[in-house]
Amino acid sequence: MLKVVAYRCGAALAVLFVCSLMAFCILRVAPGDAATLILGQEATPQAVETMRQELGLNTPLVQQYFGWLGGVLTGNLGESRLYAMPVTGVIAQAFPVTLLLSLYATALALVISLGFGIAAGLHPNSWVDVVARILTQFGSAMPAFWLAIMLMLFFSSYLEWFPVSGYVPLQEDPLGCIASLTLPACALAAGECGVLLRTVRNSVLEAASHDSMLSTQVKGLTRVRVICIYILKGALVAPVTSAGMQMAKLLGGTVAIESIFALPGLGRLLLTSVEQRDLMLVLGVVIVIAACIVLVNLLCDLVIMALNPGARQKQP
Amino acid sequence: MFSQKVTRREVLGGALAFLALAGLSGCNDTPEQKDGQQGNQTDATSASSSDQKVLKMGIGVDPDGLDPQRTAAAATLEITANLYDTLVEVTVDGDIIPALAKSWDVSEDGLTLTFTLQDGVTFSNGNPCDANACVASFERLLDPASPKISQYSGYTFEALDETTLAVHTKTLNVSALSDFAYAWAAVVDVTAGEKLSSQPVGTGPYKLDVWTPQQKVVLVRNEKYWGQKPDIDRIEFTVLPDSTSQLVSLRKGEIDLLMGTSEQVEALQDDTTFQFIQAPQNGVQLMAMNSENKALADVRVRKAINYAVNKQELIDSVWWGQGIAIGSHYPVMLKGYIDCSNTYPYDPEKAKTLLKEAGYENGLTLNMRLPKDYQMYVDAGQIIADALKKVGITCKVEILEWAAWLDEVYTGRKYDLTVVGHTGRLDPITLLARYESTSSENYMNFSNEELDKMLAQYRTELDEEKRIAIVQDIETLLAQEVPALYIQDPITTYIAAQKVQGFAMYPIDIYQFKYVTLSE
Repeated sequence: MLKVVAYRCGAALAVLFVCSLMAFCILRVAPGDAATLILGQEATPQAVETMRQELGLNTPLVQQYFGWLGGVLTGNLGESRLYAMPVTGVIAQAFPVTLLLSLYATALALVISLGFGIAAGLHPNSWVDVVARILTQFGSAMPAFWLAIMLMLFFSSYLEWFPVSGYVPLQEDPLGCIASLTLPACALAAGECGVLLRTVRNSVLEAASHDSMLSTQVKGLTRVRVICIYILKGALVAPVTSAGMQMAKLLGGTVAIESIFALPGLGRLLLTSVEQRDLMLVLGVVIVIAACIVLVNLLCDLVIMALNPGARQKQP
Repeated sequence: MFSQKVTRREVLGGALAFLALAGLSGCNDTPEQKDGQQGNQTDATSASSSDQKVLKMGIGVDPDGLDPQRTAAAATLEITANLYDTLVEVTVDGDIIPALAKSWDVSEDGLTLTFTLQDGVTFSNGNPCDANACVASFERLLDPASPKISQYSGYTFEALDETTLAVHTKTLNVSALSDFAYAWAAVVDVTAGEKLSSQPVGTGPYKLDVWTPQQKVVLVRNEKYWGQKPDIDRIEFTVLPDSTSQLVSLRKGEIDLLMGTSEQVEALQDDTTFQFIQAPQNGVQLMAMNSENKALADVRVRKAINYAVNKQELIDSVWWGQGIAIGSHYPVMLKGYIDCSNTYPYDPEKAKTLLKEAGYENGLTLNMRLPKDYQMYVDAGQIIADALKKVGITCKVEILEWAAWLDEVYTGRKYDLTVVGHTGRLDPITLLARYESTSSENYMNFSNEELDKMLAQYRTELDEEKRIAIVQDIETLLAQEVPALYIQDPITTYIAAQKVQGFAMYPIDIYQFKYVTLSE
């Protein structure tokens, strides 16, 4: 087991390295650079040249990249040109927002899809199953940004239950923080629910109709006991890990939802930094997002291995 | 700003209908409710601010730093104009009035400007702002990292004594005084160095309280301000990227002021809780045509393109009619404006005839490269492409990110057609000089000897009447030669709560919150 974890950590580092290298190359190959952007429409070619010199855009690419990498290894992600502060500081402000939002949305999605999915799986073709199927279709078909606007208009503007937009830090006002994240989390959860619900329903249905269930009846076990111990234990591994994967996706930032609710999260930060060609900030955000995804995947794998001994042997 | 904006606009339509319904059904919030809610919110954020006068303004994006000498972004300068002062100030009508300089003199030969500064002015950190500090600040504006270096490179600065500052020019420059009214000519404390961007130090009526990236920029009154004490204690700029949430925030009183898009103005038009502050922007929006292209070098083709487009219809559909049609590179409110908008009225048949004369009766293909970040320009470009199709010109439309557009289209001049806007200047010459054949800003590659001569003449003409006559000749020439399809001088509208008094629009990109008051 330890060997497997060590191997996976090594692979994770390699992934991070490749991600940062790709982000760096794409940004440097894409047309448009920071110098022309800062100097605007009236810049003379000489001024742009001097500016490029000043920003260090003229040093060889290899030197630029490894200079940055050296900094990363010592915990220094560089300085954001746009916000004139250390990249770590800017990300430290944005990361908690995205993390809380992702956790909230995933938790909501899990509660709803487990509730409906289990009921639907145990009673296929009943009215619960029909409702669950409608929810699945609705959740997958509805664009999150549209739902977000509708939720905002109804709950913030009409009923006035929640603030329109903006973010309240958790440490300042925990209730306010939850209120500010509720609508965005709902909008995101709806989409996640669609996929999750179907997974839960199908694996519960499969487990419940398995031949081994017959023997539980023979043994005379109570229905509740059968559901809790025999059906769910096996059936929930897949949905829970898939919820983990979906959360990893949310951690990558959700530009549309963050913009609609004016949440200062990673997605908007990444978009702004790319548009403004703030190279250090782009690299910093990419590294953080990649690290999150790698970490969540690693955890999911470990959970699977813990629950399913067979998976342990397949690893090198 | 985002790629899904087009579809979101459609959604906005539905959203507005929903809002209207909510309003109709009598569930619109009453002012009492609104006040109560605001109270709660302020209590939550800061208990002491209850008796303060706070103005909340919605902005779409963060400023790109708060250093006026190191930015080309209007969104930044609008904010920094309240943190820093300039030597002179521009009024709503474009007149120059004293600011940090209480008076000035122009020498006989017009080559030296002498400013007398206000006494005892200090920066927000306590450092004195005397003539030496001003010289140091202007020299920083000449640094290679400054976007405005070309505008000021002809000047040298000299401190004659503590409160007297001399500005010398080598050649006569009739727009010299107005050069010191732009927000980027602000006097900054150079000892604060490169930190100015996040920790601004100026002499302005406000100073920075806190800037939380992607959330808000908060200014508080500068108690050391040398001028009249402003009425508002605190200004909060809240970053709201989405146009629906801007609208809802306005309606709920979470913001008091917003630069409205045409759609937002349309949606709130009949709501008496708001006032609309409107003025032409002192800008020019146009479709540039690159004369490097063989077809576009032919004036007949350029005229044909002008005939082919119904300007008013374009303005109505893209800008909801919020603009004044123009026919030359000249904003409506600037001195010397003449109406050329009817030089080539909409006439597709004539366009076809002209194209035939020029040898393109079998059609012509041009590329059109549009800046993605400006949805209006993208929309306008596509409507124009449609109109051109009807007279036999096929446009291959390509949409670029702003940074890429600046690099390839504007600087690199690799395009046939593009739609863009130019913001206003105080002096006509800074606006028109881009058409000089040698200008680095002449991205249309336009070249006309007569025009070059007129521009040179303008620069040395001391008589204002004669200068205006020259400007009008240039306007007419551009309207005839049409190096671009001149579309409109856009009308900007700010949507404000009724309590906001004295908010005005200036011919350059600044906000002047020291003149704004909040009535209870």
